[in-house]
Amino acid sequence: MRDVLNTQNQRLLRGLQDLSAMIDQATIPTELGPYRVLIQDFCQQYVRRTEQNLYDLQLGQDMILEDILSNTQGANRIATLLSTRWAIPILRASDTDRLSLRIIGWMHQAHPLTATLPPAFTDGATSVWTAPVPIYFLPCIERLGFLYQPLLFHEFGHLLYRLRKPEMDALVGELQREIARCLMPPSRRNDRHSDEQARQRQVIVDTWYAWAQEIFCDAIGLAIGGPSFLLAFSTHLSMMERGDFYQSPADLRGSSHPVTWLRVQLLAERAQKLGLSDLAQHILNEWTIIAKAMGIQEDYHGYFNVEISNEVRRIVDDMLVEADPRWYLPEEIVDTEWSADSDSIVHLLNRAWQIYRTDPAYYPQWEKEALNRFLA
Amino acid sequence: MSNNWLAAESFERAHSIISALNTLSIHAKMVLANIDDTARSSDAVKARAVLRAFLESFGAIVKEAERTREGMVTGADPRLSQLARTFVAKRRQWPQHSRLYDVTLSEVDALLESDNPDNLRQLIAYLQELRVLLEQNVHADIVGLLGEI
Repeated sequence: MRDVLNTQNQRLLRGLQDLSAMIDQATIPTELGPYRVLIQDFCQQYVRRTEQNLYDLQLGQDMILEDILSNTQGANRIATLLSTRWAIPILRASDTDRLSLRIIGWMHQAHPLTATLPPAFTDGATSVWTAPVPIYFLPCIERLGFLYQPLLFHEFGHLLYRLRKPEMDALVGELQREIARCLMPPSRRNDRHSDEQARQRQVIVDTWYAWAQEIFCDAIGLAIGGPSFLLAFSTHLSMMERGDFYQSPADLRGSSHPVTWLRVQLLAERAQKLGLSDLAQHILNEWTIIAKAMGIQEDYHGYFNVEISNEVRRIVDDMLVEADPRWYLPEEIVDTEWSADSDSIVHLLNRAWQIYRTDPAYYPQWEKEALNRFLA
Repeated sequence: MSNNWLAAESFERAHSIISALNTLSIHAKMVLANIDDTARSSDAVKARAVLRAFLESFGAIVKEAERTREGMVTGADPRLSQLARTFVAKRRQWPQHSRLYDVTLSEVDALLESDNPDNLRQLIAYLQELRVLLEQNVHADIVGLLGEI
């Protein structure tokens, strides 16, 4: 056992030292500099922990071998995550990351909870890893231009949730209890049928933990990005698949995201309240036309109804107050040209959608020029 | 949009708690064997804080799960909810062979602060069983994050 652990830790130590050297030598955009410092620190922390494992092995105490084994397993997991995830924004950095890095950097600086967090970004399905430091992912096509960058605002919502976790979990817990109450039958029996109902109710309540966070993140995206988020969201998520409109009870069970059509409806409703009625209606119409063409009837199999909808709206409003995002400003969504000297990123992203929707043929040329001005 | 955030947060939580358990376990064993381990003392203080914070929040979730027959848990991520239900189910088993399921938070607190050899032995056994419970979750998180080869 001692020999095996010794060999494993020697191997880990070499791997971490090699990785640390690669991180140091990588050529990166300047925007990624602070992230490199942070990951390098993290890497060094695990170099020290591996050295500690080797030191503990040298003590010759058999009684602590099981603990050293567990520590070695932990260090091994971290080394794997470092080399497959956390170091990737540095090791695979490209100049084309700069657009997303700038937007993430702005987003972080605009909120007191995230102002000190360095931006990090790499290719992947649209998502975020919030721990231990946030890394954002966008698919390689979407990251090249402005149109889908507002999706990062949704991902930022996950980070805000994490940074306010006790308060957010308390609110989501309140929502889950309300949902459980909504699902309670008027009369209760004490038989097998009643047990099955209770199990089903628990599954729905459990599923809503992740759903609530996704709906909150959609609301954060809209709050920060305004129309640009609504358009990016609706367009990006519209695969026009049946599964975007309807899912079977088996698929809904424990799913991480609500049915996309439901998310679009909740988001459109929120957009209408913000005065974006025309755009919200336009998006709803598009989704309804596709649903009709596929002959789909809305059915969420007990996971959603009018009563639940009211509770979701109320709790997400409270979550927004708790998260306190930087809201888009009226002047950031007006139809005027963007100025690199005086205008915000939110104005730029909204301007991109305005140009794209009114003159798609001209858009690529505009985007190229605007990108040059933005990254200058 | 993917649900990486769920697995990543669950992994981070389990990893930090298991690291804390290991530090405390090694420290307790060294103290029990009269081997100087003062170099680890400051890490042990931090580890106690990590463990206490976890036990406090996990204890509240377990309490909620015990209130209903179906083990209803709210305001906790699915991995932690499941862990709480597993804990409750094991606690209800009879006869009970493990101290893990009948020790109270204040008893753990007392064990964590004690240098008494009997208490240290109890603490070591407790930490070992808690680690086994948590490690069962970690593999699923890693597979959730990285997939399998």
